[in-house]
Amino acid sequence: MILHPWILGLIVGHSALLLIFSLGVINAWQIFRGWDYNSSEEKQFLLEKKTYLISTVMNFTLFTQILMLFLFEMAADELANILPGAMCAVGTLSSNSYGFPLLNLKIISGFVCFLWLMFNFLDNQMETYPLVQKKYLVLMLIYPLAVTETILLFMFASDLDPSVITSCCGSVYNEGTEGLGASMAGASAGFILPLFFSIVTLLLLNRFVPRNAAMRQLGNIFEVLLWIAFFITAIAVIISFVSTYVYEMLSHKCPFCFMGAEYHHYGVLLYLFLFIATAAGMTGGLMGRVKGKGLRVKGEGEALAEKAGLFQKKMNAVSLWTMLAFVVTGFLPFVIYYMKTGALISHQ
Amino acid sequence: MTYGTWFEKQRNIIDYSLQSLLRRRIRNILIMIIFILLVFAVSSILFITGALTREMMITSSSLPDITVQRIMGGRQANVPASYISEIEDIPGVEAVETRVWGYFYLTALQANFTIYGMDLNLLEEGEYQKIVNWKNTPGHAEKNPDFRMIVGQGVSELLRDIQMENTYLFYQPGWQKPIPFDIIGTFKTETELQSNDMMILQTRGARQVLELPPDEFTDLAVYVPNPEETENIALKIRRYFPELRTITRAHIQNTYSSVFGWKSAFALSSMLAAIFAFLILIWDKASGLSLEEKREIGILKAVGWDTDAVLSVKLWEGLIISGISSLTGILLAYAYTYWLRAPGLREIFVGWSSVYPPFRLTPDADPKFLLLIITIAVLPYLAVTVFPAWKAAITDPDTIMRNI
Amino acid sequence: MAGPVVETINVTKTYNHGKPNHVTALRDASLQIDEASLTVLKGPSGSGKTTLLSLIGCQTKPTRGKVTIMGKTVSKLPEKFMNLHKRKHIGFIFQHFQLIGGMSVLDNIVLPLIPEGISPKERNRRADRLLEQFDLTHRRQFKISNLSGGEQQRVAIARALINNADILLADEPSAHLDSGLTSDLLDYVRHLKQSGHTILITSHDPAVYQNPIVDRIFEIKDGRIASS
Repeated sequence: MILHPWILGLIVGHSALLLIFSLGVINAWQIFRGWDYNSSEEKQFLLEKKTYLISTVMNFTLFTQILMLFLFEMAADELANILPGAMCAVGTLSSNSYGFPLLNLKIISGFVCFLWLMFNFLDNQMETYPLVQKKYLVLMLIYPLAVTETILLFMFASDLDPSVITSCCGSVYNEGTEGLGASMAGASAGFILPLFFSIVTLLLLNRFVPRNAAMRQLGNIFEVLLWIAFFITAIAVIISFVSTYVYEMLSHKCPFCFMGAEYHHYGVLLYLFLFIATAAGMTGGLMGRVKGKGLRVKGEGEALAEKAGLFQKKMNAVSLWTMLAFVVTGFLPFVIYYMKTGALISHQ
Repeated sequence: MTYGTWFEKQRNIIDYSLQSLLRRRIRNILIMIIFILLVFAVSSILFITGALTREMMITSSSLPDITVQRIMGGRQANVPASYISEIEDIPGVEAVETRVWGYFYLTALQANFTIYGMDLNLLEEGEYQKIVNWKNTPGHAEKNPDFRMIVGQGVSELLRDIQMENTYLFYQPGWQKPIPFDIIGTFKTETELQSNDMMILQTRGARQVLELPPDEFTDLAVYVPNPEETENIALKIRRYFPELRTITRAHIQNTYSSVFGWKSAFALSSMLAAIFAFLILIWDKASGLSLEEKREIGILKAVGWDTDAVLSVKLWEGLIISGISSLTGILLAYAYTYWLRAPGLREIFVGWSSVYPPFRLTPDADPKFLLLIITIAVLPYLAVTVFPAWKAAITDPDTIMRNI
Repeated sequence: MAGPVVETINVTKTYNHGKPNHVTALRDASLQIDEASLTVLKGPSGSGKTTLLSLIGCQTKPTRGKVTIMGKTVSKLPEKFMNLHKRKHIGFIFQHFQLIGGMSVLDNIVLPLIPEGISPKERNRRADRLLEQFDLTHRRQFKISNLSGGEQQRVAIARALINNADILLADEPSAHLDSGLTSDLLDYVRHLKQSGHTILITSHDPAVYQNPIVDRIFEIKDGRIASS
């Protein structure tokens, strides 16, 4: 264990968050069980008051949870200065067996939290609390994720040992070694790029090809799945293709180094676009699904469908534009390199 | 009714928040003073840690990949020349250089200084010539070529104080007579941390002062071009020669970083007591939330303000106070650390010797530091002030009015 | 509008539920109030009339029962929407005025408009009109703490009117006024009623509830509506 301000900060932050989350879940359960909107009885009034409170608290908690992902990355970067052999965040993360799983879990958790926040936002715009029970059910399902995250963080922090040498990105993202990072690095651009663009094409088709209501509902589910695939292949593209042209070297494929000042924080912009596109895209799909279901319920269902529809449109626009921005930004180093040298970087 | 946009709404709320703060002027100013002091203390600690780490990194980048020392009886002993060829033979080793250096206690200055032996002729030509302010006294090179030296800024200033800026007499009790050295130049340095207390003597003369036998060296510097092999080679050296100790550059950097980090965390932890006291004080003030404040919140809600709007006011109040206090504290810390050179704090972090020559800390505004400081300062303050306000804000106006 | 402007159905309100100081302030109260009428809730202090007024004024939610304002059931609305409805339709005048002492008359009057995002210029324009109506222009920048009781009363009324509400609720408005000021007040109330406002007053002052402009009286005793 290292006594370092960043570690302290992360642990304190996560513990506090988990505590609040736990309190929220207890109340969520009460609301989920006892909710009956049409009742004018005392119990219902109490629950209505509660849902307002819990929704606000959880907004804050989940939002902070998302922030912790970025704080974690920054901490990993800082700690690399202390761990021998580590030159960037990768070194810190690979120094014990919890680092990367924790990062992956945090990314998943970040997206899930974001989706819940959007779902909650939609519900709060309605006068009749249409999505209350569903949203608290989902909240309770998210809770184990947060618990696991915190446990992993504790184990990661306690396993950090400044006397043990860790690998740096050169070996983690090297085709020769074992592991996910290596296989991503090894995947040739020739394979990944077509895969990536097929997914993009599918996304665009799914967005713009008109169809009937039943197919559209399917399309919404498909949309969410596609965005997940988009995210994963995008990371593979970054590691196997984009990094090569940012570092202008075949052997350096680290997806973290180019977030630093030496590379003008290129990576920060790239990842910003990627995360926003994926988050907005998935939200669009989710909203579409809510809209579809809402249309089947008369009266308040239609009002909900309308709001969900508006939200979906906005999210779709955001995801489309940021996806475009991501592709452009990702290809920029390649274009620059090609214009400078007129050649491709490839295995000689 | 014409409704304004979200921006106009926020602007109105910020306006109201400012007004509200001004209505309780004295209390808020007192809080800000304490706040500024706390932020100042925390920031200074973080700044000095960062600056020292940066200094250290710059300094240590010129260190050899592996430093080899000989340990006898638990203490450092001289390294005989015989080791050189054996270490050179290890695959992966590019070169082995010998080093002559040591600490010397200058009685006239009552302090320890580092003496380094090298061939000063090398400095007089080539690129290194630029880093020295040469003294233009003719005939220097000829007179006593083995007893010339170049000193660091700090040493030079101290010698000037005792009027020994041209020649210094080295002496140890037990010597027959002192050894005079001519000072032929001073270092202009970009990093004083390294050269400030350094004195570079012509090798032959240095050996005499350090009482180093002709075929022995203080330690060896091993150069390994491939960083991945450094640890391995260091291990091999230790295996072949158990009496030798190896120190890799990476290890030194990590150690210093750890120490600075540790000291920083330690200092911060000891400050935690003060921070908690402050927070408790604020909580105490706020969670009662003066009757007056509670009543005001009740009135706002009664005339139709949303809980969101009421909380926005409290949030902005908190942001304004903590924001201004934090910025002021950070600026003061910046001035303290980089301008005044952190008197008081510097000794805690740097010194093993209280008589340590002055050096400059290089400023750098790393946004990560600012983010950390803001997280430590602003967020807890907001939590502590907004939460009690929240409890009041979600209460029915009816309930508040009845109780007042 | 067709139908009552205000309606409560079997509304019950308890305070400090489950605690030793549990009190049921209002029990199964049902009433209806028509547009452009002046209604008085009459009863001794502690009878629950202030509670009923609070419930109608959206200052709190019932423990049980339903409250409908301008056709919309406000007791079930999330706070955000309830406040929206409240700001649009209701102006409330409190028994003890509830003005903010350290602020000026002007700032107190425009208080309801701040979270709406209405510009200072527009706010002041509306406020100045009311200041003139209530003869308070010369007190525009004065701090509330420097005003007389009668002047504070007028500021409280002006604040209740700044958002052009249809419904005005006043809790014991004549409590701090002498008979002269009370008759001024009632004059003004008549004027408001004539311009289409619906007014609900709680009072145990005969000068108020015996006045001919009162359309209806509800008597409240021990938390129940006794008669109308």
